[in-house]
Amino acid sequence: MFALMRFELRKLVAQRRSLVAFLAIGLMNGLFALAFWMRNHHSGHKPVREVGGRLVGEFMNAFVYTQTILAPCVFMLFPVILSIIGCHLFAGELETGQMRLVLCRPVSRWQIILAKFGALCGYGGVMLLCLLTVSYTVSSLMFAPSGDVIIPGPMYMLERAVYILPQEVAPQRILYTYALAWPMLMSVGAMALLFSLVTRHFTSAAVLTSTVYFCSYIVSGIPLLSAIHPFMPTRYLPFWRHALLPTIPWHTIAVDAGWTAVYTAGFLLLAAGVFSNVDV
Amino acid sequence: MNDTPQTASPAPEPLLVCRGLTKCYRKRAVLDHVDVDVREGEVFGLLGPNGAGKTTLIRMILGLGLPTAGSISVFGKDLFRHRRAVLRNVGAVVEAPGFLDFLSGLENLQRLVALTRPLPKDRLLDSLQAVGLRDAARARVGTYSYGMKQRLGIAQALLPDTRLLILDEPTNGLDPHGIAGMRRLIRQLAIERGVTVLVSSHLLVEIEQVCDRVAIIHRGKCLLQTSIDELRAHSSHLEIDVRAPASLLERLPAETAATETRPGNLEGGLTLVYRGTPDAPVLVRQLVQAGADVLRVQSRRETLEDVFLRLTRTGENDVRIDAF
Repeated sequence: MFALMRFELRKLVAQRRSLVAFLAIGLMNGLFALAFWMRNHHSGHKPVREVGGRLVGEFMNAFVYTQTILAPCVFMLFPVILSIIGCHLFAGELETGQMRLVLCRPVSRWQIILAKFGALCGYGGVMLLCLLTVSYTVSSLMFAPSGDVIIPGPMYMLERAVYILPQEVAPQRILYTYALAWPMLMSVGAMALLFSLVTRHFTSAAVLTSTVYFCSYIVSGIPLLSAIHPFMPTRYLPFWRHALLPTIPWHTIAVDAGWTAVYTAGFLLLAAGVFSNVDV
Repeated sequence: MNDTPQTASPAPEPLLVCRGLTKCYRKRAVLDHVDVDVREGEVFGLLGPNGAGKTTLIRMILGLGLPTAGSISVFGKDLFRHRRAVLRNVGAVVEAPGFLDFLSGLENLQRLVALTRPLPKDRLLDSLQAVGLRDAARARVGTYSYGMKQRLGIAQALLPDTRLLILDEPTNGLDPHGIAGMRRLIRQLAIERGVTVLVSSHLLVEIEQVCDRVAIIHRGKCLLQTSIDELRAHSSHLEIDVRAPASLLERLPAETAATETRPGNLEGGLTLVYRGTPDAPVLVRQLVQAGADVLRVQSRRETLEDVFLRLTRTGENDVRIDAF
């Protein structure tokens, strides 16, 4: 199992296409840095809004930048990247015959799924860590390295409109959100493995994973379809956002984390079930 | 026709036993009750035209697919119950081996072999040396030719402690030197290292040159399983060209009746084919006494190709076999 895991990690590290996530992080930081800088300096974007008696412009600091960049990355960018990498790791290997070589060795199909899932989890973790490090480094060079954090609620699908996290708790909350976003990526990785096995075709699997993920979000956002909302995985996946509330609702986080674990395990079990009956 | 070679010493124990192996895809049987016995230390050939079911059979033997019915036992163990234990001593190359293009040949070998048991680099390099890839060991597999990838496939299949080597069309994509080298390597492995080799091919010459025993697979059925020596010994037959009215043939005594009658090579004649070891002078005498003009008597030996074509040709209109 250890050798299999090392093999999977080596595949991820050695492939140039695996670097795409880090390129995306760089690109995202470039856009964010430019947007934040323009907000502060461009005449057409004077900070005029007021929150808690303070201008929005006063919240331009590294903490805000690092926290704000997480939302688009975790909601959209990373799931897409992870589904592509995951599908390439599994469906791609089924297509090229690499899987056959591995299965001619004394390894079980369960072990292969777990090793690939482990590698994807590692990849997701490294993406988050890289985002945290790069974002904070870039923003602290441009703005104040610390300060109060403004939280626009709708951006994180939170009920409250806009509120402020004081500087004292902000670093802890930022770390919480980054850490709690990891299980969400794990779940997307498990979904990618499942669809890789169902389709056994890289492109179809990647498209299907992204489609299911985004459709689930879209359906969750339509009040008319509220009857199905409790069954949508995306209702529970982004439980990291609760760590941004003034008082952290640990019970809600625990329940949502539990459901995310159930969905992840379900995806993996289904994948294992399909894999054990597939001719390679 | 499941012939078993008769030898003075008892036949070695079968290392691989397939019984009633059947594989259906949407009710279409790709393998239909196939029985195969591969004995320890031999080179066993699976011969069949494209699409006969050879690769499917190999996949079943490696546990890459589940049979619809039947059983497979390797080293005396049920494959599906002890798959991991069995595969510790099985090496295989099935179809084109899919290596990771962005890693070197050596690293591909290292990572794959480590899934069974990690080996020191020297042993990996020795294995690469054996297949002529020592100099390209550190080059990325993406730069390898198809033939080099095939050889890398063999190198990984031999490690770490392979007792049963399964090769699916191993000479595909190799140049003539590579093909000769591959055949030599297969024989060497069997003779010098006692490795049992199961090799599939649609090339008759290859099977005839390399294998001790052969099974002919056609349309999912095992039509024949015998040793090459046995096949050679029993494939001789007598052909007698005669000129005689059809009514005369009907009047021939039973012991003179031909196994097969076909239009003769000589104009207006018939060719009577007698399989086995018929007594030629007696037959000729009887034919002459019956009133036939004997034009030519010829003892012929069927090649593996003749046997293969005879067994796999199902009718005059079977263009798939004859057209290739």
